[in-house]
Amino acid sequence: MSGPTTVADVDSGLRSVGYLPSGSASLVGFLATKLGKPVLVEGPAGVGKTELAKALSRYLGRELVRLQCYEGLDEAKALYEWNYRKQLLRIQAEAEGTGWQEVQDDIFGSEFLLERPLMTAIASPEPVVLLIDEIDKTDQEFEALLLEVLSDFQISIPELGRVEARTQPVVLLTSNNTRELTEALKRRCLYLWLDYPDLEHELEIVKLHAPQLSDAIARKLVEVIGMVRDLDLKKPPSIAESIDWARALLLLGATDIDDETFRSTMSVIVKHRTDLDLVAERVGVRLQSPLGA
Amino acid sequence: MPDQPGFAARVVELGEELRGEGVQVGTSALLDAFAALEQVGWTDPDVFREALAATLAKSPEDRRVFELVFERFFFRAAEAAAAEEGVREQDDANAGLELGDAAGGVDLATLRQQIAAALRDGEESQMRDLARLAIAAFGRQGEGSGVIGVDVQRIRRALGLRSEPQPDLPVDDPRRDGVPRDRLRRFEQLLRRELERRQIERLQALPPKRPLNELDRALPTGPLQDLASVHRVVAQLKRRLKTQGQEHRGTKRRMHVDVRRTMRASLEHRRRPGRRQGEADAAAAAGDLRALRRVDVGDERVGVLPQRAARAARRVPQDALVRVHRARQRGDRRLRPRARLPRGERRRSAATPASPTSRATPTTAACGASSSSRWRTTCTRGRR
Repeated sequence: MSGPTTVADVDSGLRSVGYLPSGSASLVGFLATKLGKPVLVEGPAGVGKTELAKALSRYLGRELVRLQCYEGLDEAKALYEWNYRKQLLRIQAEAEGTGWQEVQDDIFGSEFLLERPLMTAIASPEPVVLLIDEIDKTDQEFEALLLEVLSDFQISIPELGRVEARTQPVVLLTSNNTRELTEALKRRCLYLWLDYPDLEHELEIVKLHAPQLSDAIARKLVEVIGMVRDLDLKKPPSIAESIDWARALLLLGATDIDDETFRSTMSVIVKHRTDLDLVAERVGVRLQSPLGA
Repeated sequence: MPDQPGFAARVVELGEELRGEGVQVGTSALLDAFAALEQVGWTDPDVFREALAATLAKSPEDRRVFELVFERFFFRAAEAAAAEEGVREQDDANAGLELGDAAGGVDLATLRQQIAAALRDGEESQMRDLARLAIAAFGRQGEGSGVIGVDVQRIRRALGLRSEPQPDLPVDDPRRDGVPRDRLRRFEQLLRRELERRQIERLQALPPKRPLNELDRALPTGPLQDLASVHRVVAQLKRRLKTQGQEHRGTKRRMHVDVRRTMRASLEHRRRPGRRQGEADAAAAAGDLRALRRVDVGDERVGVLPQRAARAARRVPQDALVRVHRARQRGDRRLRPRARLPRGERRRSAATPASPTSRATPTTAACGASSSSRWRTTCTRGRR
């Protein structure tokens, strides 16, 4: 499949695979495929950062290679590792008289290499979408390692030589902004800030994922979500949570979001004890008084 | 770009201006911006802005500054170019007449309705046109104060635009539920821009740049965002503190204070004759039990520990005593208690030496020292 030629292509393409991109998401996605630069996607949790990568891979028809970051992630888990057990078995199976050189040639072959996500993405004969999820969870050492990989798209293995990318992968890095990333990494990336969608956009998303929900309820749901997000909460509800809520309302067969329905299903969108109290107090009151529907 | 030779220079100037406002724009970022613009074209204003933002502004804060600078920069650049070329919108009577006619054609009530409807629907171009109509309508009334900020607020009030619901308005009025706050702000910005544009046209000169913090005040919810940023910084610091020093943890077990060990050490200390001992005796004689306790565990600092801890500390030599007792029963006299023997007992052992070697003072001292060290080791070994 050849790449998209205009931003509108990417936009419609993403829509066709069930992702409704915000204005700049499709533009940056387009630039990423054209310029071959990694994209750093930042934003609050649950606004569809990871989903964007998945949608891109579906739309471009490429395999998605995902590297989930965590504290203490190192090269062995991200790049490659030698399969020690297999090497040992091989050495034991070798006849006694084999020389060191032959053994060495033998056990440091690609057969004994365990490929980790970064290596997989680079060595893949088909172009892939590489998702490096929650890069802010790793430490700075790993970021530095990543710099080398992302700028040259090559990995050198001392025993084997250099592995160069045969195709240009689309790279997305996501971050929840819990830590300031280094300037060096940012400089190499295109930047995309995803925020909570505006009312109409979210309405569209909810309708896409819960098509049976009536328009009136869907609109009210999105309005209530907007109200809840305006409060100063520990964890404002994400898009995923509004979709969950829509589905829950469907299952319950609710015909309207009144105070009672809201209280009984509130826990779907708000997940902290203190937040629950605050939301019940503020939003509950506003639901009792007739909302301008 | 090729057909607009000056435009690339404008983008570089924009980069300069962003640097001036504290956004780190490297040369590589500018090159990226040009590469991106090659791909998406220079003609669509929204795409143009987004492409620049994606390559130049790499954090939410930078993005915020970028929006402000972008708006200010291109507005001023366009006006400067217009002034230079002598382009005037209203120099021919036609344009003015047309605008005036349009504004006169609709009465104020309809204009209000139209503007409110446009605000509700969020049509940017429509809002811009209506902003001009509104200014034209008010210009005719001759209410302009000459101060832009004042005029903007006057026009907004006259149009009856408020963000809070106005229940006394008729049901079909779009202003009834209140105008969305961000759109209202956008409309105010458009009004301001239009007024500024007219002023520049009148004066044929650009006013000085408005500083960003003045523009920033118009942005939504300052205090809340400040608080959020404080929370974010604290969260980051917390994280850093939590992970920092973790790398030393493994190697330096001794970084923790071992309370028992400390106490045992100070208990041994206590036996050394000194000023403090004398003080303690005096205090005990005076009946000050706290002073007694303090000295009992050996050190002032320890004295402030809770009673339970002090008692536990005192128990340690008891164990040691038992050990000494058993050693003696085995006939081993090398182990000598130095602490907490009943007075009579100690005197007796001193008066009736077990072996002739212990009579000589130097040997006793040596023996004492060795026994004390043995003590410490046995205790430690017992704990492990």
